[in-house]
Amino acid sequence: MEKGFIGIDLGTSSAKIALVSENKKLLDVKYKSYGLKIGDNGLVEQNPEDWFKAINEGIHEIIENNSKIDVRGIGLTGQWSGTVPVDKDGNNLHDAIIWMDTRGKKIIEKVTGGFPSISKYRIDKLIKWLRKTGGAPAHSGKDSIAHILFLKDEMHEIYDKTYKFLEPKDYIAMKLTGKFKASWDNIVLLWVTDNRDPNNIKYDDELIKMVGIDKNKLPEIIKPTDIVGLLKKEISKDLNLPDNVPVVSGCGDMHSSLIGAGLVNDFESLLYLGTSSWITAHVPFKKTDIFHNIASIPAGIPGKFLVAAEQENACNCMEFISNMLGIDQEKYKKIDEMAMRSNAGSNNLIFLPWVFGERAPVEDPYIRGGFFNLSLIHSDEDMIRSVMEGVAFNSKWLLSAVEKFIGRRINSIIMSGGGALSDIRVKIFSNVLGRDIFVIDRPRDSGVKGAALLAAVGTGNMEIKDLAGIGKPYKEFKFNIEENKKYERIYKEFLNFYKNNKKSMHILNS
Amino acid sequence: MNYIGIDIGSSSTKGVLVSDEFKILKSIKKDHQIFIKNKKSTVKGDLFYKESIEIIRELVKYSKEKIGKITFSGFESISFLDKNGNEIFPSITYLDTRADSIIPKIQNIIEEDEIIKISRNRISSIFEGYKLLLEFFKNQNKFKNVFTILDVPRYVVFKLTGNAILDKTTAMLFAPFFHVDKDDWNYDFIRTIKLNEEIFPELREPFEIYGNVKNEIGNKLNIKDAEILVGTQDTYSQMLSMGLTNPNESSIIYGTTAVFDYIHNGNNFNYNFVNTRYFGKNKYILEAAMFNSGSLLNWLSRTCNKRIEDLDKMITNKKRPSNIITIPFFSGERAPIWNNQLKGSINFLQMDSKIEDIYLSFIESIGYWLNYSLDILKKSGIEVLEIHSSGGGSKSNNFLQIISDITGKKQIINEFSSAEMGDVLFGFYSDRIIKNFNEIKNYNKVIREIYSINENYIKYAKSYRKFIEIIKKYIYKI
Repeated sequence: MEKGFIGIDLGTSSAKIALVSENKKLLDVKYKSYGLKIGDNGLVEQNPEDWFKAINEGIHEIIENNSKIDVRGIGLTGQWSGTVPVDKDGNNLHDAIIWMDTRGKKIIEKVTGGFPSISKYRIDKLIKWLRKTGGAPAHSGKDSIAHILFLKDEMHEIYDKTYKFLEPKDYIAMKLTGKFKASWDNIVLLWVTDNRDPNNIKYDDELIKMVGIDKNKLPEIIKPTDIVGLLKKEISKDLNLPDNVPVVSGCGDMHSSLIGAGLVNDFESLLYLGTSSWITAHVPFKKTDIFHNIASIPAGIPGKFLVAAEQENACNCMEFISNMLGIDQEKYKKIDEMAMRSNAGSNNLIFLPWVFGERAPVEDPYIRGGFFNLSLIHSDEDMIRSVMEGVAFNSKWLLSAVEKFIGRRINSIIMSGGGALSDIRVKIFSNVLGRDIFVIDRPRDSGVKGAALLAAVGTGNMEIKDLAGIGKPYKEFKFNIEENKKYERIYKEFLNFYKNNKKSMHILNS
Repeated sequence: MNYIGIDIGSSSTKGVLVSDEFKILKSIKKDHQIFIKNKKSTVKGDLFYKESIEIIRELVKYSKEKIGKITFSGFESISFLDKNGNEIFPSITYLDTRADSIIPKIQNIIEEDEIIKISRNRISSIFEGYKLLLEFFKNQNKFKNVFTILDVPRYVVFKLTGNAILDKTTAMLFAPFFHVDKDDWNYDFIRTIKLNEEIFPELREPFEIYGNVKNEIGNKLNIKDAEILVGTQDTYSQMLSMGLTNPNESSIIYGTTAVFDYIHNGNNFNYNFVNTRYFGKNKYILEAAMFNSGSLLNWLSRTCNKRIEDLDKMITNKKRPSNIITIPFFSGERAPIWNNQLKGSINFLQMDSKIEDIYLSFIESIGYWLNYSLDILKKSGIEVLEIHSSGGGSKSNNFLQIISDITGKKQIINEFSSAEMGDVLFGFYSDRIIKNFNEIKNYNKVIREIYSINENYIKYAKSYRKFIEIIKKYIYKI
């Protein structure tokens, strides 16, 4: 009987559940979507029970369709920088406050601030954070520490009742095993761990005291390749799986996407284009660029760091524009076709993609999205294309910061994520960035594949080195020099817009 | 006796047949469109002549009595005609801004201060005189064939009567060729430029007689005894239809563009705005034509494939002001910033922003921009207290309330308001059915008044400051 490993990717809009064979082949994937609650004052929440229901359904379908596969492990990945407060029995006490939620902005500014300060961080605190963690809590309020402090400050009853604060992926692991544990890569955005030794990440009492949360409410830290526990009996029975299936902790979606793309060696770079987007690579050093909000943080592979350079706004902008224009049926096909009918530069219409503020290359919760240089000649097709281009301009900005960070030019880019399924979007990226792009096989599923493969590693069925190159065969996109020149001109204006307007945005939105 | 008014507008030609007892007997509309591409917007005047003939023919069918007077109004434009009424160059519309390119050349010939002194207007491609010079400088040989210059409505009348006459109100828009103090063409400048004086037509008041219809046309259309009046621009005919003829009265017409006009007696020229001559002695107008108004809403409707009526319903219960701030200069802007190169922007979009939020922000941007003009007027000592509103936008309660809430001004809606009705009223005045224009107010009652809601006004004042902040400091650096 062929061995297989289940991967679970808890995304923001949907969960992916995949089965990967011991030959590293993706056998089956299921997608299960759920809702997002967006409210006033920066509220963005999800019901964690919806997550679990979706995952449960997906696993059921996978098992039913692949009954001849001997499931030897389950691995997790997904959204991070979210918080689920749970009681001792694992019941959630509040909806999950996810990575987009900014309600903790004020409290995190208060906790990190003081005199004398640099970039609104009290200098002595900043030094401690940088030295031990490699970064510092973002002032956007989107980090999990800001969410926990928000609960403590605004909903203290929930804070008091909370047994453990779990990251989304770790909440699912808890539901599957009954164990309250967190992988060390995933918990770094609590900014209370000493990350200096990538083989031994641990809580730091001084940092915990500095943020003022209760250490007892934090879960035990384990490696991403460690086993959280065995699948609960009632779940095994329900899923028709053996009792002893281990659940491997896994790592965050950024980390897992690198592993699933087969980029396990240092400096092999990935541009992921999903709801959000990131440029990442494993690197052999710990470093921080506070001006561009880029840091190297503990990777999914124990002993390694990876570059974390995430831009908040990517394919969410596709959702945004299709909703705006009332395109609902076959929307991705339609928006791609419409974008193709416009031209490079969208008749000089510039889209500013910061509909959720931005995380990198500038951490700025006050900037907002918009269309700039609009005239009556612009069509819906120009608007859609300009949205794709605006996202790519931000990635170009991010790429230049990442290249400085890693000290080398990224000559060609490996790409994954659902956005990479769209040829027009990849072409736009290639021409905007001025780089050849290689899209991996099954780009949408690299994260979930990485989770399944890390389960294989965690259960001793595979080694990390075995995963090199598993993203092949690549689909190649060569960049067009003429279009790149055209984009260079518009890109300058894109940057100018930010420079000229950031002050205004801060005044108007703070 | 019955009267016909015909308005050749940007999106349609409308005709109305009215009895001398002020009863509307028949209205007819023929749709058309004018376009702009790469700053160029030209039309073939013959299209409007044909539309006008068809409208007259149909209206006459509904008239049991003789037609007394026919009056034409229409959009701002310039036509170049030979003796037979053929166009030497296509007629140029108000949307055309190509004359921007010749402005430095003109500034070398005559100082801007001198132009302002004579024409009471700054140098700008929006005025017909500069469009004339564009063609003159470009095609001097061909220009020799020009017999007369008129606007499109008078071009139609030229074809009907064989006479070349222009109203003085329109003539002032032919800056720098109109001398305000002399109330006549600026012959000194015409000679300086070496233009043929003969092409500048005789000038009369809009309510004066233009002439009779040529016999062959009169017989065909059964209007051989009808007299044609000189008429004027659509904006001013529409103002007349609401009885607005006195100093300190003001109007806003929400159409493709939104045109705000304030009547004064010659003491309030302001070079931030367009200054025009109203009909009658010593009556002038300060005009702020907001280039981007209905055109924005139409653009959004087209782009998102939703009817404006539906978008309007969607904002009825929306929290105001919108978080989004739109800069409305999608087609550049005229008064009071005079920059054809400007473009628009939609700012502060968030993931949960919806199309109706953008629609609301578009209306608000029209209000903010009107408020900006009203602020400039206030600084110059003109306090506008109430505005007579008309045009497409005035049909939406949401639209009107938002504008009043932003500006703090009372808006007044009359029973009717249209350029073609204003045209008919010129006929009434000519035949002494009304002895003076103030009598129009007796015919055309006020049917509604919209007041600013104080709570909203305060909220909008904050958003207005944001709007100005964006425009002034960071984006456009006015």
